[in-house]
Amino acid sequence: MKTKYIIALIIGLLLASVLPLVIPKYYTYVLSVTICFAIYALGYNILFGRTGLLSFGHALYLGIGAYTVAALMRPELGPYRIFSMELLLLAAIVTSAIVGLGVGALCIRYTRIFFGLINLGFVMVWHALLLKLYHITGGTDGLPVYIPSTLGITLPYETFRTFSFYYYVLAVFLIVTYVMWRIYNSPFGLALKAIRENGVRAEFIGIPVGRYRLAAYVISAIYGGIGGALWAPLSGQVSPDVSTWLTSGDVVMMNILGGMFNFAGPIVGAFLFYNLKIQIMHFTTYWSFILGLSAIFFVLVFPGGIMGWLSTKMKKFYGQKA
Amino acid sequence: MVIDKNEKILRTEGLKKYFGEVKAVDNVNLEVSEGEILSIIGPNGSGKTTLLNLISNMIEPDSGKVFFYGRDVTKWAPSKLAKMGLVRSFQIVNLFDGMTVMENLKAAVASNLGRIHRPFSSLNKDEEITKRSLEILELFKLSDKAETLAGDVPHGDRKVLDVALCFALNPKLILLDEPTSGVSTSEKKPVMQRIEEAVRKERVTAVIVEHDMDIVFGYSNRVVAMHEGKILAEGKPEDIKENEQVRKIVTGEL
Repeated sequence: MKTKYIIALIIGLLLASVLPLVIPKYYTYVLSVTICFAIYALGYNILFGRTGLLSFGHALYLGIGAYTVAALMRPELGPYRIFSMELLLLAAIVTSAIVGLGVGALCIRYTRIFFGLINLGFVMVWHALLLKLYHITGGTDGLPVYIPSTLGITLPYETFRTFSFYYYVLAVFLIVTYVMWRIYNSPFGLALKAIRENGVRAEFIGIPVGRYRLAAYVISAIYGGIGGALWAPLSGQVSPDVSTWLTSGDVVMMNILGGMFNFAGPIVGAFLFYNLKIQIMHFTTYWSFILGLSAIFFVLVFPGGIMGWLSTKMKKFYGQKA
Repeated sequence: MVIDKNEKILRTEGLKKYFGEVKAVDNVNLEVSEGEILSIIGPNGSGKTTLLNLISNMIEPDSGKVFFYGRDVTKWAPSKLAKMGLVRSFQIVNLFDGMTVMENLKAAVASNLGRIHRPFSSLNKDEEITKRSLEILELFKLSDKAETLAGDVPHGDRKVLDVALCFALNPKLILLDEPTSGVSTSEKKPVMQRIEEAVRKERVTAVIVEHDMDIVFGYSNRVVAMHEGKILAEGKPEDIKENEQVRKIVTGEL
């Protein structure tokens, strides 16, 4: 069984590395953006699917990551501008962790709909700040994002967004996915699951529920920050649009479509949702209508998400618990 | 925690909890010695469960204190109490329904072994967690249900698992809230036997709340009878059984 997984992983990796050589340039860019969203969704799911906390404001962290990168590249900083992608990622991790810790400490006192709405409140405040503090944030226009150096090398501008940066994004994605996999399969991960299943009993078996909810929140914030930080150079521009209730809702959708109780669910969901959106946008201005309809369709047909559906099929096929 | 063996394992001092006009627990002073099995009996609404909720800090008392080995633990979070060895089960089964029976136990064992703060170690490769979980599984005769979701096992087994979770925490004192409630009459005895065996084997001090006297008499060293939030009588099971007042109020006999 284990070798099967490894073979599948190697094939997947080969495919992922060869893909940009065969598909049109534009799609390599789309693929890179999708991977950024996959990181965002994967992080969101440790909060939502694993710990059982539904937030309607997680794009706050996507924005924190993206704006951290843009802010550190501003010409006003003169000799202190940062172009190293690794340092920028580190900075995004730090800022999203700090904000996550502060906001999370307030939010985790509540659960269910209250938790969701307080988070929504925070992303709305943040969005308004981005719009109004235009001296710092550039207002509606946002801030430009330049080409960062990757591993100390400044890659050619022409192919950066449509080719070379894809591999960087892919590498970061693989690392953070592996880290998340370890977390899911650790005793800590089991404690989070126990909190999701029954917060009261979790406390009575010795799990300090509040602290663990906060830990899950901060981890998901960091993943949002990483997703945003990687997305910023791809987009070339960050604007308040990245941190709205819409982008906050998107990630909930990705998790539900892909399957929130499956590790790979959010990743599959991010790919499905974002690419569906892009494709539909290409042929109609009423894309949100079609996207909404297809979302309804997927939820009705696959109540456990695509991966949830697949894994029950697999279990039936193999006649065992996977 | 340093344990002072001269102190009572549990002592309550003037515990009081009113719900409006209702005196649920009214100035209760209770002492439990290490190694005993104490049963608290009383009719429905006599304050037994509230007393347990106060001791386990599920709810806060209006006044009064709880001492665990002489230390004031009245305001300790349940998770901290569990760490120190004061654990409880629930009258209405309180499990992790979406997790397998084994996962339920592993969560408790991992918590007890202080593993849950390790986000990068492998749960399945942790032999200590697995070993202890299997032991508990066997002790409570749940081995054949290990891979079944806790929400899917029969009620009797769910009650047993609820208690098993407490034992997975390596407790010193265990509070059992009506461990056989909702279990069919024919199953009550076997369920109670499984629990009693575990109590003896693990050398745990136990406080059992039960409204059905017959269930607990055979197993207890001492019985406390409660009525309207107060302790009505306490003593050896056979004495309590003969106590006129208790017979009248608790068992409804005349």
